[in-house]
Amino acid sequence: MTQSFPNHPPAQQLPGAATELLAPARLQPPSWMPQHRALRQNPAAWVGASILVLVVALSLAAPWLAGVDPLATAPAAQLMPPSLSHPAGTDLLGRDVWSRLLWGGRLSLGAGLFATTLAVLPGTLLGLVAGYAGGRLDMILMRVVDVLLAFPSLLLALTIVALLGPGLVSATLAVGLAGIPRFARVVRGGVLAVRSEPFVEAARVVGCRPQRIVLRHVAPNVLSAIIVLGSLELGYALLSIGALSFLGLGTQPPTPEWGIMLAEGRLLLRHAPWVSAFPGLAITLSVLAVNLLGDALRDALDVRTAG
Amino acid sequence: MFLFGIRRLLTALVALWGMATVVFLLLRVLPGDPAETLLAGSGASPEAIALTRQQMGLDDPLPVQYGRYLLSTARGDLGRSLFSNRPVTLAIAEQLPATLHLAMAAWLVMAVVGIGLGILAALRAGSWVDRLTMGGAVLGVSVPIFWSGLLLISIFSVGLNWLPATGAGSWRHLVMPAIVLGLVGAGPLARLVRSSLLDVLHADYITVARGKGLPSRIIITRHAVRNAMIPAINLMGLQAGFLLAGTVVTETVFARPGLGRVMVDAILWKDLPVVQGVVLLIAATYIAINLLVDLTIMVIDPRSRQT
Amino acid sequence: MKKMWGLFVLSLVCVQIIVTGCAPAARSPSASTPGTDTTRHGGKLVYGLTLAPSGIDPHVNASSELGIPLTSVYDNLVYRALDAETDTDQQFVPGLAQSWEVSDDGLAYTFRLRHGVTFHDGTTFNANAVRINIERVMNPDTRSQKAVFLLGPFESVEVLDEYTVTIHLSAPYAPLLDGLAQVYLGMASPAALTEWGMDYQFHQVGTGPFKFVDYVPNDHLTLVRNERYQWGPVLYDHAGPAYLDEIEFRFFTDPAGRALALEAGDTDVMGELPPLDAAQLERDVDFVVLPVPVPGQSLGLMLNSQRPPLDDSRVRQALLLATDRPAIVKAIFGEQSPVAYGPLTAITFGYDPSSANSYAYEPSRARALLDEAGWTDSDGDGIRDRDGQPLTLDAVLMTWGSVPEVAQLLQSQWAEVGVTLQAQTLTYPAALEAARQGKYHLIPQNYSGSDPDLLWSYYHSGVPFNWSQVSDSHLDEVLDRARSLPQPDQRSRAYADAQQRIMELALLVPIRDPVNLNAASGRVQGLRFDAHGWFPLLHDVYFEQVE
Repeated sequence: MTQSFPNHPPAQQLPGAATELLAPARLQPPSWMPQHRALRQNPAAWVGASILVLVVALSLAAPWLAGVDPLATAPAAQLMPPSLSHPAGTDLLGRDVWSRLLWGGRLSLGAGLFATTLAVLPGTLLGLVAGYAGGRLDMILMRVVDVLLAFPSLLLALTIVALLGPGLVSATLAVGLAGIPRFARVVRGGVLAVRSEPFVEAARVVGCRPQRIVLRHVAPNVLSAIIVLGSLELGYALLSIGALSFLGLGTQPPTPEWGIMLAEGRLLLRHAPWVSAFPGLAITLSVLAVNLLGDALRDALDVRTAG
Repeated sequence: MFLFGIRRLLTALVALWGMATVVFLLLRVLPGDPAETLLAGSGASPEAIALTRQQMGLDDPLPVQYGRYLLSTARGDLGRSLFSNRPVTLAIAEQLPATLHLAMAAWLVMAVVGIGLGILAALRAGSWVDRLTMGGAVLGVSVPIFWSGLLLISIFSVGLNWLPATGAGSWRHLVMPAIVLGLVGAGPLARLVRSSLLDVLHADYITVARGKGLPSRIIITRHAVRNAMIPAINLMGLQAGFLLAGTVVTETVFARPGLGRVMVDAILWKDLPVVQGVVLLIAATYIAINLLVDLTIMVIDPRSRQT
Repeated sequence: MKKMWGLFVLSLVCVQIIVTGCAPAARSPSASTPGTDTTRHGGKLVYGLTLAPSGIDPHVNASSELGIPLTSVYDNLVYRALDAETDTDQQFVPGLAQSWEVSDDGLAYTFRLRHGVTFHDGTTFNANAVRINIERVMNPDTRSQKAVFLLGPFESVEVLDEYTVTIHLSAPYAPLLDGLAQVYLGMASPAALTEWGMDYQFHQVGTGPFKFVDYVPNDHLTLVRNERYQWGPVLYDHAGPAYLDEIEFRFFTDPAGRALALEAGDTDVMGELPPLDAAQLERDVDFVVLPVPVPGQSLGLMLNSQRPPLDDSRVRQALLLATDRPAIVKAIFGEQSPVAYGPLTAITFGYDPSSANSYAYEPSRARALLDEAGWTDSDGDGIRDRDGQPLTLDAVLMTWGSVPEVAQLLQSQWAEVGVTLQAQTLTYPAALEAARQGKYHLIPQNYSGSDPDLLWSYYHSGVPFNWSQVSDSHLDEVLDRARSLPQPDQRSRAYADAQQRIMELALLVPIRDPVNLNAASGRVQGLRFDAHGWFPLLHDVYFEQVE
């Protein structure tokens, strides 16, 4: 690969202000850094990684840290505000929110990541194929994608629930499948933008096989879009699973899962805000962490493709 | 261009037919008998339920039902609701304006906030403005409307009495629903705009432009933003569909009329003609919007015309 | 990063302060001086409905929500008295029928109609109008979902003269008057019925205190005062036209937003508030909470008596004894809600108070019964088993009525005696299908109704919604007999028998008596509800000060 490829330096090398960014001094070809250094020197990545490690560790340590059974109800101790004995308070049924939060992390993060993977991988593949192949195949694939995109995800979810029975698995599948066409379309858009770039043309001229061109030249260049959307997809997934629970069709009670905890807590918003605030915070933090990491990863990957 | 339009129109029709068929089949998979649902709790005899089922045309073999459905849809007759006995076209016509107002206002919020913040963050990449903006973008995606909507009502309607909490009819009714719905879409958009703008700012042609000594302002507005918009426009097309179909939670929280509510109720109650009608409408709108998106990209990006 | 964090936490705290800070804001209490009639006239009331009903033709559709607005649009032939002794003959009072008599065989009900009543479109109400209304309900093409069943073994309707009409039955049917007293059999203008046909629901014309203006589903339903109204039943506190100029009904499907809408001033009245919100409004001097008990079935879980292991009545009884109902009700439904003891709520005509003593919370007796039925914890895992099968029950749940929350407490309570409860929440149609196929051990049921004959629809063998799958000859006989008995006190005794039998067989786990928690702004005066529990008597409502 030659210097003509449209790659750019990692974000953390960029100076803060636009004027600086555009200063002639910065127009020299950047000095490439090794990827591990890029990741290490990115404070955002550090924050993201720390949060994620913390959240995952807390979830995995649930059996030791939770203290009480997340399912144990105690109607007499309902809606207690956060205290020493209940660090995150109790919910309507008197269950310990902290314990449910920890145990819920396993299910929520697992389901969210699974749904995201389910959306990103096939979606990206479809988009790459459609965008690179072009012509009739692109046309057909994109029409199918359009139809799927317009398809109400609730109907899809209900059909899956009807076939598999209600529960977290059905909800995860439904949310993941519903995300595929989104990625297909965005990736295809990105591919269209780069496929006529000189470096792709060049690869074609020197006789690279299509698979190789797509994987080695096209894919890395739409990667930033995929990472950005993919890291946000986790948020979508966690919330969509919650929204299905809001309709009573997602996670089945009494399973502790952040989405259903949030849905259950909204009726109590004015009376016991902690019931929904903690799972809400957990979702936001997790999504934030994944996004920070995603950004860093995007920058790091750019370095590699340049080298 | 004209031929392209005709071809797209034809494929759109095929896509609609595919959609109609998929929805028809999926609805038949869902468990439940509308006649029984209608009469539960009324003291109806099994004979009365059987008679109602027959009156609903649900006793006919599936191919007969399918044929009848296609024929009447082709004539523009979407049938009558099994539960309210209203013509589906009427129900759609009466609920569509409220949904369109909400979707358009939310789309506007999304576009302005998303693109604005995205550009701002990219130009100040690495600064605290960037971090704050991108943190906010994550918040938008990871805070559920069914939660944030209630908070907004508590603050701006009950607490400050600035805006009506619920209902539709004036622009003041639109403010809160449009903001909560729009911000969900603004997050991904801002991040995508930021990331593609960063990509573009380091592309060769920008380097060339800078080398030619063009002023930064011109480079950014004329070259960078324009090219960075392509994935963004793609995403905005996607989000338009999402906003249109995803208004249901917003409508529920703010007690607004609208199609989202109609569709979800119809799916949950298995009101076959209503689901079929609304899904067709959403699909048609969606396909039309994405046709527009493709045309827009063709205008902005000459490279994509080669297909 | 740290900055952003600080901001985020700070904003959360702010939100918290704003939310909680504004809630108990005490404003000056409104003075309550009884106004004279003239000061009461005028004003527009906004009334918050909960479900947006799927259709609102009272002859066709079945929802309770449709009756909330339409009770004020229609008059009925008779009305159920508000506070009459339930065992007497005075259960019903005249409406559009000034008087009525029932033939000795109970097969013919003859009504003498009030003169001088006109529909909102100016046409005259007479015997022929009654005939046309009833024939419309009976016509299979109308596809009536409720009204037709209220008429029971209807045979024909006969016009004797301009103001006398007889309804003929093929069998004695005591609940007939109760049916005629409901909005589903309200009297509609024959001219309007003919003119609008299938689309009548958007052009309704009755004789009631308010005229129907328009209805946009999910948005609003508007009524205006009927200036000519002079024929109100004795239920209403004042004669002549209603006080309010206009009533707008709006729809609030999301329970979490109802109290907020009321506090924001979007509505003057709101129904079906969540218990905690109602309790909070009760402490607020600007609002009045009106809890209205609803007659009919108690909220409970039906036990499928055909599906093992619930085919053993000892297991069913054990479940009842293992249920701490007061704890469940208090935790989930709050102090306002009574605990249920049988299939009917305590304010339903014919309710049998003796069942209140059965099945108090006695886990030890529950354990003994389960032991006796052969279910013991042989492998020491805390769950009882028999022949290698664990004692696991499947519940099919629906999202309404806080049923999922109830089930979660049942799960804990029953686990104490070694029973596992697995719950699945389904959509309503899917739950009905599961019920039809018998694929459940427990399923919730909660239909309201002001006549105890509703027991017939759920406990008689061979009816489609007999979800306890009971087939008991004694119960069948009592329920058949009770619906044909002419005297209220005889019926009441028969239904007491039926309720005792149902509880003896342990066919359901009753949880609570539904109470509709309504709340109104302090300005709203004179709001009361009729004997069906759901329907407000809006004729008497007025604003304290009309600005």
